[in-house]
Amino acid sequence: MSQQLVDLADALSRRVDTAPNPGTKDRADRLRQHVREYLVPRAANLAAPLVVVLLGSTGAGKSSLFNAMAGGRASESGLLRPTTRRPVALVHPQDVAAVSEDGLVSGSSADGLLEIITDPAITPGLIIVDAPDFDSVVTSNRVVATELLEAADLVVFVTTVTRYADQVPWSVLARARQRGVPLMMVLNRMPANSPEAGAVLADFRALLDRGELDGQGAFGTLEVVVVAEGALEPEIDGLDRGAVRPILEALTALRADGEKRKNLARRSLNSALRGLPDAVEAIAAEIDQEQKASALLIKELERSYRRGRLALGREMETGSFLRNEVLRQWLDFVNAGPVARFLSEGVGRLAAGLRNLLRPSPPLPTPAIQQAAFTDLVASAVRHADDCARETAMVWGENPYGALAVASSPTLWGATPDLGIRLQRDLEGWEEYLGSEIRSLGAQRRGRALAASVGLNVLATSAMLAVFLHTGGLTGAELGIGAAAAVINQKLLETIFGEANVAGFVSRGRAHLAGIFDQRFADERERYLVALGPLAERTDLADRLRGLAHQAARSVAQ
Amino acid sequence: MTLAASIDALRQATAAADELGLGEKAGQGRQLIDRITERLGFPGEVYVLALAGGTGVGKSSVLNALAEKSVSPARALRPTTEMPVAWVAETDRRQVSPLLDWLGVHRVVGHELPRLDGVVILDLPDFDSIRLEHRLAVDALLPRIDAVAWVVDPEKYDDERLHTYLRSMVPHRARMRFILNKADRLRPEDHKVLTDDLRQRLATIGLSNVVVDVVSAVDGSGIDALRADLSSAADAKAIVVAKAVTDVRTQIAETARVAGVEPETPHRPLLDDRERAVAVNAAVEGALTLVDLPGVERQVHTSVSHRASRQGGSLLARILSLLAWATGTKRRRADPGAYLRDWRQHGSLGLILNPVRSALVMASAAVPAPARPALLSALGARSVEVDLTRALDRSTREAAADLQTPSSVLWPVLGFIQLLTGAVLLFAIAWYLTVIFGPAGLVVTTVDFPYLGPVPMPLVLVAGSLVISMLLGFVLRIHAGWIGRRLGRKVVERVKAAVTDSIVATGFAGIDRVDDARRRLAHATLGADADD
Repeated sequence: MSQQLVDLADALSRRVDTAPNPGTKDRADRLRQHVREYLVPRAANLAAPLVVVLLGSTGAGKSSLFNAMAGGRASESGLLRPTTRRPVALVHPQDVAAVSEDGLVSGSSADGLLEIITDPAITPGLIIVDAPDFDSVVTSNRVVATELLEAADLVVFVTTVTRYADQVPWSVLARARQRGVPLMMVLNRMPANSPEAGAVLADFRALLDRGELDGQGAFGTLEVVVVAEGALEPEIDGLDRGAVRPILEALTALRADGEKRKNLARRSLNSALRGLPDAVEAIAAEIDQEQKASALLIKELERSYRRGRLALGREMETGSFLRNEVLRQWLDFVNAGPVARFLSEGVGRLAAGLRNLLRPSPPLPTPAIQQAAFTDLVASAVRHADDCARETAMVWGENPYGALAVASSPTLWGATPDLGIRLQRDLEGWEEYLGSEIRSLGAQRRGRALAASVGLNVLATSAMLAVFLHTGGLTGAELGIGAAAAVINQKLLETIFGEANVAGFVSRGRAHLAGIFDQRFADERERYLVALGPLAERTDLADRLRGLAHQAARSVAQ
Repeated sequence: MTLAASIDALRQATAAADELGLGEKAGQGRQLIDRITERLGFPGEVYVLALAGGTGVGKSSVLNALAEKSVSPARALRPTTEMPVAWVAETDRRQVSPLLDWLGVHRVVGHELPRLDGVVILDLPDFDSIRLEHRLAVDALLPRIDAVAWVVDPEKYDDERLHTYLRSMVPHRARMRFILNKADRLRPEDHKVLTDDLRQRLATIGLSNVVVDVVSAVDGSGIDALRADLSSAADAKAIVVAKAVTDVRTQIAETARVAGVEPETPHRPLLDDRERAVAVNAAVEGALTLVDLPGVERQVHTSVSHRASRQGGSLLARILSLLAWATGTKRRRADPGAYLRDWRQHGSLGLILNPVRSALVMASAAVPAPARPALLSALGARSVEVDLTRALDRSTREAAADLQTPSSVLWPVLGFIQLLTGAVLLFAIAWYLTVIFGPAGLVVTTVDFPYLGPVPMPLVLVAGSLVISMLLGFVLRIHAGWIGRRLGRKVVERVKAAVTDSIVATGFAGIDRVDDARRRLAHATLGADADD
């Protein structure tokens, strides 16, 4: 069984590491402490000394009770709130090892905080801890106190006539109820001769009944030890030992009888184990809910980016992202320059030759065309990436986890700021690839002479445009400038390289280009998963926790 | 600062919050103005002092001790007081009744103690017991209350729950006092130790120099002094107004905080001038690329030459022009208006959108994350695509609206001469043809042509008309080209100006509006804090 508990503690640690907010983290951490610092050592050794923790509000009189138990001024009690800022443990020297080495009380925050007072005069077997309060402004006190609650075999809960209906102590008691720790109850500061004393006690008992704590007494039904206002022994700085006799006697009896201690320890352990599934369920349900929420977020994210990538794909298929100026420059060039002469035949060729003689051939527009085409393609891609980002941020903003993720950086409201620069670099790499394809085709037997007569630069530009522009099976006559450019382009390339070759490298170039944009869009999408943090990962942690808790609970019967 | 002025400042801040998309803050601001107006609408010089504290500290006991009778039952059962109880001077009772109704306080006990008129003392339920509804009642009442006396005892003065309230009400420290009850439980020498500790703790959260009265409701010690203290505290009207002013200030400061406006530092626009200029230039350049000014110019040019050749061209040119119209080439190449209106088909909208949107996102980085979605909406980030395309549609349509292809008196003249030349040419050709192919019977005399020197006349006519036609065509082209270029330049200038204007006015108007709202919010904050 110990192994299951260790596994459970480990699973809880994973939860602590991946919980999305302080509240959920805290809950998992507390249960982890309970498992690691109470269940594991206690399951391993029922005979280890019992841990008795004094819990209560600030000013309720825990330290005074502790001093009464110690029979001397062991923990400082005092006027100013909160008094006890670090837990104090009263142990027999023989039990010190159990505290400091076996880790019976070594809550992570209590580490190094716990003050140990040894008294050789007491009988070994009990570790009595005076805990700090859980309701003062000192937050660290609250942390330590809740940790000690998780580690206790027996809780002595101290409250007062002023405090007994406070909300904070009752929330602590609710956890004590859930983990089933045996309780002893002290109601301090009952005004002397108050006619309402009986009514107050009855009211308090009614509250305990309603909180289902009445059955959780350490010895039979839960007993409330009432201590009168001013019942103090100044010489020990503690409560009047006569007034808290039932508690002192119970502790003495436990000290004297190892079997009794063992029984109490077993009872405490068993109810703690039985309480595990419920405690774990609270956490597992949170995990389930987070998983559901994050699955939804990721679905939205993927849908948005898929849509954006498709929209870009459509623009790329028709070349509609290309500015008209690019196409016009290209058409002007191919219609007038040596290309036209090359493409035409017979009389037309002669006419083109004459025109070239009369009019100066237009300058080679290659670098300008290429630059503008890349700028346009980058602008189009960034625009769609930007759409995806904004849409995602908006949809995520309506979900608490998503909103938290999106809040992590303002850049999540748009495309990555340097996406354009990166794409530009990608495209330059792509152009080099395309150039090498052209060179290798031009080096082939058939094309060499022709390619040389037109010029490799012109061919490279033509190849780039061929990838961007689809003719879609239509002819150039009645179509816009884009189709006209596509037709003449196709003609030029096919004349030089042959139809099959052109089709081959155009589709390769297109695939290469698509790969670049797939990658960049995936990177863009990835930013949101990173922002989502551990929530983005699918996990079976919830079911694992449930399984381990149920196994542990079942082991009680054996 | 007067209340009226501070409410004005709050109105400004609320309006600014609306423009920044902070509807919640704006709503709170308006509610506060309503609440203050209501509070000030009640007649009389009375303020409301509430006894607040945890359960069991003795709020009711202190009130009963002050009254020397049972006003609010104090019991040992926790929690005791469920409904607030008001303790008022009989002389005030009638006039405060509507005020108490407004507060929702229905249990009222009168007294005839001298000099304790002008104050309504409220015994509140607790805020820390298991009865959640008590806390809710306190939370609902506290904002409407003018002054608070926090009742604490030696057991409960350091509770986190109490301090949560105190921290949220630090701005109201001037109208706050503390009553340390249950002094009977302390040794006299501990009074000072405990009050010093309390004061020191309060000082750490910003409540320094508050009044602490040490009393015991059980043995009555300190009660007389407290009563005297309360009666001398005085100018009720001033307390009510000061409370309202503080509320207003806090609300404005909170609005500024949420909006990420830091009034202390000088106003900084969301985008600095350089960033803004870069974005504006990029967007305008993108828009001009998309509109395609050289393309527009070329279309203007072509349309002018088409018109010129229709009016003043040779026969051949006219036929070609007709062909261009019939095949649709003219529509495609010589209609600058249509080409302008069609600007969205000229390339990627990203050229315009990207710089504008990234500028908006950059601007939104200046505010805290929770306010960012609202700010982006206020900046227009969500609608910028639609807004910009609409604006450009409008400005291109307007630029194209009165785009008339010009004409010239010269062209018809040239056209007439061209017609004459054409006729001469035809006549000369016909002449040749009749002589060569005509039926012999028609030939009356000889085959001799008149000769001009060595050249037969028809040949002179053919060559002459061809040369003249070419010359005229050349003149026409030069003239039409000149007119076309001039018009093209004019159109381009006009489109450029219109597009630039609409980019700045549409894409960056949100930033200006938001910057202005932020400036006004900062101004309101400073105004409200003036002469503190």
